Formats: sequence, C-alpha cells, structure tokens
Amino acid sequence: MKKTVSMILAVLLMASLLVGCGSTSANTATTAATAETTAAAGTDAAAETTAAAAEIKTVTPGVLTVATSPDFAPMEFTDPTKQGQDMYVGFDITLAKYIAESLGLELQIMPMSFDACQTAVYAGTADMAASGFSWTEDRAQNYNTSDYYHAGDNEDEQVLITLASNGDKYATAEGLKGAKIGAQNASLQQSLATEQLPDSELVLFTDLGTGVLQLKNGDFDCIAVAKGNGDAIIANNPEIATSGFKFVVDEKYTGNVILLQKGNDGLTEAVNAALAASKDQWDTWYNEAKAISGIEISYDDQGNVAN
Amino acid sequence: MDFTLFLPNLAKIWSQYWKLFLFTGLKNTLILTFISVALGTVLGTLVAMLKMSKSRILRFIASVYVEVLRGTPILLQLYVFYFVLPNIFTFLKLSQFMWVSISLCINSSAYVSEVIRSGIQAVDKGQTEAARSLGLSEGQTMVKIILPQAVRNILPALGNEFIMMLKETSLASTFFLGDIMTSYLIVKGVSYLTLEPLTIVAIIYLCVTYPLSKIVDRFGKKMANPNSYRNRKVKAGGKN
Amino acid sequence: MEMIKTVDLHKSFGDLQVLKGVNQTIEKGEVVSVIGPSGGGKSTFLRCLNLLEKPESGKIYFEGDEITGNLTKEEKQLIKEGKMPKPAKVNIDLHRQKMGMVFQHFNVFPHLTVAKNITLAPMMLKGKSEAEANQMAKDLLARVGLLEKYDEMPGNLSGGQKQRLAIVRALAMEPDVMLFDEPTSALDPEMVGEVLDVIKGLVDTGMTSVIVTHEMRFAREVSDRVLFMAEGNILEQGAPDQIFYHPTHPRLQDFLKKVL
Repeated sequence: MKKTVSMILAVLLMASLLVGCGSTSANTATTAATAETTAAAGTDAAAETTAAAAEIKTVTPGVLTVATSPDFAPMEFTDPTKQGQDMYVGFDITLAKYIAESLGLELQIMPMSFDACQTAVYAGTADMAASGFSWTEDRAQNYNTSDYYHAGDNEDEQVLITLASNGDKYATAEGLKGAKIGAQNASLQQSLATEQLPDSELVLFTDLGTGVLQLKNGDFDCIAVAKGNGDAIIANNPEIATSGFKFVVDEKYTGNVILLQKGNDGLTEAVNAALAASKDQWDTWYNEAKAISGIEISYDDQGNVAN
Repeated sequence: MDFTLFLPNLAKIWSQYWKLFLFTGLKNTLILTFISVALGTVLGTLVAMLKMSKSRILRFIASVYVEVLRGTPILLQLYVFYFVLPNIFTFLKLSQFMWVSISLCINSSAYVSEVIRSGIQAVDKGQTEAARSLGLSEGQTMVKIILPQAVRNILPALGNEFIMMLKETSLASTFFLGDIMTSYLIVKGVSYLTLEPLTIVAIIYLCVTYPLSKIVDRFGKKMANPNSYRNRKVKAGGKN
Repeated sequence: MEMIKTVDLHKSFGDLQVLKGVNQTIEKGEVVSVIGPSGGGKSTFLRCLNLLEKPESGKIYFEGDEITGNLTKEEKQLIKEGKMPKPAKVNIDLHRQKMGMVFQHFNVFPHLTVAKNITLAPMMLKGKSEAEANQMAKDLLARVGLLEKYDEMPGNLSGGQKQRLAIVRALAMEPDVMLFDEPTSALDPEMVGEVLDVIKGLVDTGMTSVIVTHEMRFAREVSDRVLFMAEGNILEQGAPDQIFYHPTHPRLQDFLKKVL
C-alpha cells in the first residue's frame, strides 16, 4: 500500500513540475519575443500615432493580438530555424508588425488554423485576423472588415495551374470546356471559376496542399489559385505549370482584408489609416516574403532533383 | 500520379527539417501527452470516486462530466477551452499552451476515470466480501484489498490511454503548439508538399507507438495472470 | 446460551423470494450443518448472518445484540409516538470481527503473502503488534500444515491449501462463531479431505460453527444438529441420525434419495 501511495504522489509531483516548466517557458518565450518586436519598432511610425492609440480598444491593453494561419507562403508561414514569435514571417506578418508599431502596441501573433482565425476574432480572443482573407458578403456581415490591401500580384492575378505535360491545352476558355477545375471551398477562386468558366466542371477541396495532391493525382485538370500561391506551388513541384489562363478579376476582389470584431470601429479606423500609410511598401514586403519562402529544393531541366 | 520525385523530396525534407520534426515536434508531443495523461489520471481518479460514491447527485454530476467529454469531438472541446473559457476565467491569465493542455487533461480524465472504475469493478467481488467479513470497513477494504489489485488492471489500460493521447495531441496543431503535426503544417506551408512531410510524421508516430503498444501488451498479459504476484520477501529461486 | 438468533428473516432478489421468514437459534458451542437443494436459500441464510446480504425484514441477534437495524411495524409506531428510543446505529464491522467466514471460492488475497493474509486484519483491527501477529500466523499455519508456505504468495498454493489458509485467516480474528459457505464445493475431489479434516479439528475444539455443505457424510459426522432448507425456509431440523435415517418431510426424503 505504501508503494501505491508513494507512486501516486510521485506522479502528482512530476505532473506539477512539468506544468510549472511548461507555463514558465511559454511565458518567457512570449515576453522575449514581444520585447524584440518593441525594440525593432521604427521610430517614424510609432511616434505619430500615439495619440490615436489612447482610444483604441484591444483584448489585452497595450498589445495587438493577431490571429493568423502560418501555413500559407508567402502570405504567412513559419521559419523553422527561428524560435518564438520570430518564427512567423510573410507579408501579413510584416503588415501586422507595421500596424502594431504605428498604433504604439506590442504585437502578439496567435498561430492557429485558418478556420480558427475567424473564431478567434469572433470570440474576442484576438483583436484581428490577418491571414490572406478575401472580402465576402458573409464575412462583412459578421466582422468589421478593413480596407483592401494588395499583396503584390498575389490577389491581382488569379490563374489556373495544371500539369506541365498538358502544355497550353487549358490556356483558353474554349480548351477548358468540360475540364475539371479544382478550387478551395468558400474561396474567391470558387466564385471566379463559377462565373467565368460555366462550361467547366467545378470541384471543391478544403486545403490548398490537398488540392495540389489531387491535381498531381489526376483528380483535377487544373486548379484555380492566386498567382503568388501558384508560383510557390510551381517552385516546389516542377511537374506543375501555369496553364496560360487568367481570370478577369473584379475590383472588389483584388485585395485582402483584415477581419476585426464587429463594432470595434476605433481599431478598424486605426488599421485603415495604417494601411493607407503603408501602401508604398506593399510591393517590397511581398517580394521579400516571396524571396524567403519555398523549400530549397532545386531541380534541373528534366524536373529531377539536382544535387 | 508521378512518384519519381517522392523519395528525393522525402530525403530533402528530412535532411532539412529533421530537427524540427524530432527536437521540436516529437518533444512537444511527448510533453503534452505526458502532462495530459498524468494530470488526467489524478483528475480521473477523483471522477471515478465520484461515480462510485453513494450520493446520487455526485454520481449524476460525474456521469454528465464523463458523457459530455466522451460524447463530443475533442476538437470542439479544444475550441471551447481556447476561445470561450479564457474569456470567462479572465483572472486566470493562463497561456494558450496551458489552456490546450488543460483541455487535453480534462478530456483524458474522462477516459481515465472509466479505466479506473472498470479496473476497480473488475476485482473479484469475493475479495470485498472476504475483507468485509473479517471486519474491515469499506474504506479499509478499498485501500488495502481492492486498489492494490485494481492497479494491475488499470496500469496497462493507462498505457493504452497514453498511446491514444499521443495521437490525440495532434489536434494541438490547430493552434500551432509545436507538436509533430505542427511541424508538418510548417513544412507544408513553405513547401506546398504534403505527402512527403506526412510520411515522415507517420513514421515518427509509428516509431513511438509500436514499441509502446508492444510493451503495454506484454505488461498487460503478465498483469492479467493472478498468480504472477511477486513474492517480495523470498527471491523466486529461494522457495523451499 | 444463544449465539445467533434469527426472527422471521425475509430476503428477496428482485422478484425472487429467497428467504421466507426463517426463525432459528444457534447455541454457543453448537455445530450446525445446513443441507438442501441448490436455490433453497442455504447460502443466502448464512450470508445474512453476518450481513453480507441484508435481509429486508426480520431480525438477527448476535450474542444478544440486534445487528440488522430492521424495525417491526409495532416498533416503528412506538418510536413515532415517542414511547421507545430510536435504536443506535449498528456498527456491523465490530460484529463481523467476531464472525469468521469461509467462502466457496476461498477469496484469499492474491497480492499479499500467506502470512500477510493472516496478519492483516488482526493488526489493523485488534491492534496486534507485528511480532504478535506473525507468531500467531506461524502457530495457525502449523496447525493446518502450511507453515512452510509462510512467506509465499497464494498464487503458489493448491485449492485445498488456499482454503486451509482462508480458514486460519478467519481464525486469526479469534471469532466466536465460524460460518462456512460450501467450503469444499470448488475443490478437486482429492483435496476435499484435507479441508474437511481441518474443519473437523476446529469443531472438535468447541468452536460454534454453521456449515452449509453438500458433503452429507461429513454433516452427519460433525454436526450436533442438521437443518434442511428448501423453498426459502427450514423444512426440517434435528439430530443427524434423525435427519438422515428418519426423515419425515417428503421434500427431505426426496432430497436424500437423490444425494445418498
């Protein structure tokens, strides 16, 4: 019996120790990361908006909490060589940093799945979600949406990608008659394909990685993607190429929006102001993000891995 | 589908990210699992006691607790613990890692409580009768006679719970908590390759779960034999 | 002197009435065997005596104390009218310490050594020192020929040895009465003898015993009195010679024809 009691005690002790360690290390990591962000904050942007920061409501006072799904290069992704908050890189992260700096707030990135990002804003866990969201009617109903921002050619150009072996078979709407087009569920590409390729068969998938797999597998003839994503996919999958077809993209769809909690107009306005002020830098940010994205696998002309 | 690139890509991803998969992913998965099962065991013991108590109200509360946690998807529970509860218990100031851990602990406690309850109930009723007939009270019987025997039913089942939890913690990747599945998401996010990193994840999981389940199996078989109680005073070779 | 007295004992499991008003008195020093067909209520009767089964109604007096806490209608009325004090709650554990019980399936504790099986209860409940308890365990084991198994685990014992251990485990509490519930039914035939010998040796010392058994010859040899139970009641009782050689109740005559 003594043995049993001591065993239970031992388990308890170990568990409490572990919990202790877990929480402390997590906290330290967070603090360290935020400190760095603040240190890196530019002096120019931060100074001019301190007045505005006073009226801004955030979940944690003094902190801008941003939900994002960092598995979507080059918009937001994770640099596995880094630790803590520094791991999160990409266009939206740079943008979030800029917004936080200009509002005089510390930036706290909350990584989570794409679906969860919206929940985080809705539930008040995060102040905003910046994860390459397109504007849609439904989103506008449930969230405050920011003004549009453009991530280089990522959203301006919407294209089809296909197996390189197809050549220019799917370059025109004519050639696409009856072809199977894959698009991410509830995405801009879904609406574009429905509108502009009525004679093709639209098939939906839930996540881009799966879509690429299905394309390689022959389930689709093409998939509809934003140009930037398409380039990242092609960079790592030499058997895939653009089909030559481009969608005509309506003004209101050409940008991304940031989602904020419904009714938090103060923060929304402040974010819009920061967006307007940063317009000139978007292309630079996008190209920087693109440059560091992508796994370093190089291929020769035949599509074989070059060593 | 063209598989000629599969192996080279696999090798490339492994050589580039093996530290991420093993030192970050596997490590965090093991830590999360251990915390969940250890705390889940403590909490589960409490719930099992409630469920076997004489009070009808306590039994009812424990039943609802167990049924709700076992009857709803663990992802849903994670959402509640991550998004809803922190807003209610704002004074707790816990990190996201803690909330997810708590969610997994509580989920695990529901399963463990059933493991403990059935482990106790699997002890022959005659043992209770013999102890009570000697004049031992209900509590003395539980502590001296039933629990020491129930532990032998419970430990192997706890091993299985550990293996199950090892896989369940992959849901922590919904919040990028750094477990093995998070490693996969990270690699997928930059490379747009899915099958290759998933294959690596599968192999890592199998490398852990297969030997573990073999050990639990052997242990369980040994424990199931009632004649296997070791003689503590006399060495096996020392009888007669 | 009365050791155990039951008054109008009723017990049912669901719709099945197992005891239908059993009245019985067992005197100090008496050895009573209970025989009868399966399902006749023998075991239930025995298990009611130390409240392993709780009778719905009726009373059990053990050494003069009522132990069931059951009240008759009249008593309930009197308490309501304040003419009788509410009886104190019975602590059955204290009474059980004085009633040893031996089970059909031995129920030795497999996680404790043979010695620990014996010393556990005396040390916990009677405040015996470890040395005292160990000495007693040695004496008792020697008495049933198991001294060499002192340090072994029960898993190493045969069925007969386990039952002998169970008997001395009960004796270690120095009970006033021993209850045997079919102590040889689960044994291989060649082991029945050794257990019966131990029981016989015990009753020869004057231990008050109630033995539910299918061993008719044994019942005849050791008993002062034999009870025949069937259909939830004692249908006939008397000295062994009378029960086995001059049965009067047709159910008993029928039963003996089948088993002898």
